[in-house]
Formats: sequence, structure tokens, C-alpha cells
Amino acid sequence: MDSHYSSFIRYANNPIKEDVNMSIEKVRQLMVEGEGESASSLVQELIDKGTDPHEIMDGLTEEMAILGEKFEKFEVFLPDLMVAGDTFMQIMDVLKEHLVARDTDRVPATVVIGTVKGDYHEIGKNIVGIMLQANGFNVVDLGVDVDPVEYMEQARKNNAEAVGLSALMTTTMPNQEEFIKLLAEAGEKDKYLVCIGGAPTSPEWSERIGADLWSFDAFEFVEKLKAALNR
Amino acid sequence: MSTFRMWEVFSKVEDGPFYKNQNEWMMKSFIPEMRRVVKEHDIKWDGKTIVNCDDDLADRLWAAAKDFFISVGVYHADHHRVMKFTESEVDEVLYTKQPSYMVGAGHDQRWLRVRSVEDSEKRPFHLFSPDANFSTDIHKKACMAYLKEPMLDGLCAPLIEDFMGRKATSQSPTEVAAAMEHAMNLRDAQRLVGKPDVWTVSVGTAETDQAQIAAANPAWGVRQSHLDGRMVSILTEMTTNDAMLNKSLHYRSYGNVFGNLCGAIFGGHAGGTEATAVLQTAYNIQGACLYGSNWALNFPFHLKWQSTTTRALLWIQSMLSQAMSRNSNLIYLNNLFANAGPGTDQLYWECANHAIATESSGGNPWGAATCRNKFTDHATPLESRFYHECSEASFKMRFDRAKADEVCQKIMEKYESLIPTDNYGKTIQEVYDMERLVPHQEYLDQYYRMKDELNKMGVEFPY
Repeated sequence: MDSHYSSFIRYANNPIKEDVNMSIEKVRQLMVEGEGESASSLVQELIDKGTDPHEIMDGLTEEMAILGEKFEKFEVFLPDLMVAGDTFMQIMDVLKEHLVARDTDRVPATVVIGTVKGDYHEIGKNIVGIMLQANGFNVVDLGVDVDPVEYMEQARKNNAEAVGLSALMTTTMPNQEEFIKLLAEAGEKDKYLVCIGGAPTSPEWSERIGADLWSFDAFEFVEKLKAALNR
Repeated sequence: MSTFRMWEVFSKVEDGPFYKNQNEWMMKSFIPEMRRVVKEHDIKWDGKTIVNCDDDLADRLWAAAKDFFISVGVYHADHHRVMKFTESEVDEVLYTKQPSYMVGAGHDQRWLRVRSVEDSEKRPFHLFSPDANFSTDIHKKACMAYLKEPMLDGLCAPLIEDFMGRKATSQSPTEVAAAMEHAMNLRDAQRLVGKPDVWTVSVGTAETDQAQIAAANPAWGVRQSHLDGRMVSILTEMTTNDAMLNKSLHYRSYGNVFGNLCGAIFGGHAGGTEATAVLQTAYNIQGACLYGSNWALNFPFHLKWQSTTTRALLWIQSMLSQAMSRNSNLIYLNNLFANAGPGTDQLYWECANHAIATESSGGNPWGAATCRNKFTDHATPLESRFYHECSEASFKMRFDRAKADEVCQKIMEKYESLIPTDNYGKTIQEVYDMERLVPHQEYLDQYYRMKDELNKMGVEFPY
């Protein structure tokens, strides 16, 4: 059965539902194309007509996850993710006031991320942030050149479940270790999942400094984090 | 915008367009402008070619890169403003750039210069560089091992991992001291192998501006003028900060023939292959205009593998080389980052492909970095020797681009499927006799075997 025929059958069976599905499909398309205003208008229209905002939200989250998978295969690239992510946030401005927590909803886990002190490389950290958001995490991005104390304060303030420290230079890797030492001295080593990454880091380095999680890249990181936090 | 204009350049940060952070600038300027120039200048890759043979495409890439740089400018992360250059300013820089420098001194003097596409007169400049950390206890010996190489025109020495048992840490006294020790070791090593005045690009251990300044000393450290080179980075992507501008000021006042270290990320903010080629080419213009750098080191690399030897990345190196050699006086070198490590056949294939893909396009080889730059002591002069000999062979045989592409396609078949594997090989201590600083016979045999393999593919080595 070709897709047009199956669409027709579904439409014939439930025309109103199919209209909603098509509209959500349109919102997803507009999000990918970065058409924030059009997407937001359409979302408002759908809500005014009584569409469940969770249904729209689920569609958008699914689309971001698909984009993430395509990015991992280099079928799309970072700008595509950034544009879609930015539009997603614009749509959320319309959607969020209509979203009421469902019984089945879990509170999203918060992850504090940043590039360590002395290091100004942020692309890897940014990709991690986008991929985490696409997978439903709440992300607190501290930017670059982040002092170990700042990581700790932000982890406490945001009740983070995990802290991600990126280092792209061998001379800034010690600041990953410094954060872990600070946590241990404060008796908070077991409070957060400490995750490290960056080109010069390795599983051996991770083990040596007592990090909880190391990953080769952003994609592996998200998978490992989901498994570690049971998400 | 020659060196004397540097203060006019620095002042651009005072009144450039304001963006609250890099992300806002990316979304409003960088990404849409990149999409525009790729489309308007019709930059396309067929997904297979390694060495470009299309002159018009190379010229369009140059035009796209210049267009992009002028329209986007440079984001200054500390001031949150964009430093923009007019077309007239860019043209002045490009016109007044010197196409050649005599670097080093005495019997170690060499020309560092722009080469043309399929150049039959100017041999490549062979810059040896492991781009890797070495343990402090073998650092000086490792420098000597590299300096012994006969093909070497210049050296960017290995980095030092620790200082007095403490890990060298950015912005701390350990970094400053490690940078000083690095410079001292290098000077000693040069004298001990009889190449006291060879041009060195110093010192990689110094990541920060203060460590670079601390290592500069004509008596024991980094030397002035044409005797040594230095580097200042472009931050990803098209971004700078005060620390980088400090470095460029110091290098200029110290008189060094210094370079711009630039690596666009394939799959990163630019996007795919074509856009990464535009960005990488634009970086060369940016370095000349912003820092007043005398040359550029190009290392466009793969976001996932952190290497420069994939099919797409080799095409990018070939393209940017031709775009610049055909349209400018900008001196540049092409940086190899291999996936595999010492003692593996894969590393030799990657070295050969990078050398051959860039030479006929007008490039100068810089390498060889191994193991995705991940591991301490995982690099040796042996693969660098092979890498530079491949480049020299391509030059001596007067490979045209079509022939180079034919050979590169064959070599690519040998390692393309292996790229995702972790084939990190051996350490220098395993491959080399660290007393006599020569490779163990087993690894020397492998080196000769790989030369034979290349020879069967039509690559004739000069010796």
C-alpha cells in the first residue's frame, strides 16, 4: 500500500484527526525550515481549535530526535539543528502556557554543561546541549572558561542530576579533575553524575580522575547519560 | 592593512555590531550568510572527487570565501561585537601580502612561500610536526629525533605534558614553566643534532598569551624575527578574543614570521563539505586581515573523527589550496591529522593520501599528527618522514591533479572503511630506540614495505 493511499484511508476513517495530524506535520516542517513565526501562528491556531498541546509537543520532540539521528549520520549538520532548535524555543513560547503536566510525565532531568576554565572551545559542548534538549533534558549551559566553583554552584542551584565538563586542550583537562576534587571535598561526589568529554580526553583519563561517564562524542554521551539516569 | 595598521584593526571592536553572544550572531549572521554564499557562488562537491580539477570551481570558492568574510566579519567573544572589514581593506591586505619569506638562518635557511597549482619549480616546504604531547622525560630526545630527519625544513616540536611532576595546566604557573622548558629543550636539541638555526614554530605547549610571552627569549627560548615562527588561533568559528589579539601584538612586535592556526569543523557551524571549504578558505583571509599573520596552517577536520583524511576533508584541502594559490599571495600549509597511530599500515595510507592530495593543488605539508591527537607519546618521526617523502615524490614526478586524484582514489580504498576504528598503534618508546633515536628494525621494515606498496601504485620516491 503506498503512502498516499494509506493517508487517504486514514483520512476517510477520521477526517478531523487527520487534519490535526497534517497540521502538526506542517508545524514540524516549519520548525525544520526555521520558519518560527509561521510555526507559532499555526500552533496558536491549532490550540484555538482545541488540539491537545501535548500532541503538538510530542510531534516536535519526535522531530528534534529525528534530526539528531540524521546529524549523527551526517545527513544534516549543526546549523540545521541550531535553526530547528531555535524555532522549537519560539514555538514553546506559545505552547508552554497550555501545557499541563500529565500523570505520565516525568520531570526532565537537569544537566549543567560548560567548557572548563581556560578553554574557549564550545562547539562540542553546544552540540551536547542541543542533543540533550532534543532528548528532553533540561540544560543549563554555563558557556566557556567556566570556573570549577561556578559548576558546583550552578549544579546546586539547579538541582542538577548531571554535570558535563568539556575540555579541548590538554592543558585544560586538569580543570576537569579539579572539579571532581572540589566535589569530593564538599562531600558531594555522589550527588551528581560527573561526565567529561572533549577531543584530548579518553576513558583512561576519565578513570584516572574519577569521572562517572566519558563518551567519544555528543551522540554517545546522550545515550550513555540516558542509560545512567534511567531516562 | 599591513602590520602598521594593527591598531586600526584592534579598534574595530569598539564600534562593531553588537550581539549578546556568539549563538545570536551565528543564528542571525553566520548561518544565513553561509547558506547564501554557497548557493550564490554555486559551490558543489560530487561526493567522490578527492583532488579537484575544476579551476572555475576553485575560483568560485575563493569568491565565496571573500564574500563571506566581508559580510560576516569576526565575532569578538570578550566584547560581544563583530569586527568587520570592508572590501577595500581586504583588497589592500591581499595586495600587500608578501608571497615568500626566508626563514631560519645559516645552513638551515629555507624559503617559505606560496606555491602554484601543479607547481613544477617550487618544492613544498616540509614542516615536521607531531602535534602531540610527549612525556617530559623524553621531550628533548623526541625533539632531536624529529630534527634528525633529512627532509625537514622546519619543526613544530612536540608538546610537554608535565612540569616537575605536575600536569601543565592552562593559565597557571605550570603552563608558563612548561612552555619555557619546551623552548629550552628545543634549543638544546637543535644544537645537539647540528641544526642550530632551523626554523621552529614555537611553542605549542604555551596555549595562553602570557605563556607565549614568557617563552620568548633570544638567549634560551623563542628567537626573534625570521628565526622562529609562532601561531595564533582563530576560535571556532570566525571568532577571536583579547588573548588572541595579545598574541598577534606580541608576535608582531617580536618580529616573528608567524601564522594563523585555523581549522573549520566539518559538520560544525558551517555545515557540510561545501560550506566547510568556504569557511576554511575565509579563515586564511581572516588571519591576514585580523592578526596580520604571514601564513596560515589549515586543518579543517571532521567533527566526529577529529581527522583530516576523510574523502570530504581531503577535497576541502585540495579546494582551498587551489582557491588560494590561484587567487592570492597568501602563504599556507596543510595540516595532517590521521585517525590511526604509529606502527599501523592505516597511518601510512592516511599520510600518503594527505600528502598527494595537497601537493599538486599547491599545498605545503605539515605533519604528521596521529591518533586523532588523543594520546601522549603516540607519534614518531618515521610516519612524518614517510608523509613528507610522499609529498616530495608527488612534486618530483610533477603529478598533475588528475593523476593525483587517480592515485588518491586507490589509496582511499585502503583505509576509508577503517576510519571509524580505534587503531591507535604504538608509542614512540615502542617504535624507536630512544637512546640512539632510530626506529627499531621491525618498524623500519614496515616503512619500506609501505613505500613499495605506494611504488606499485605509481608513486616513485626520489630515494
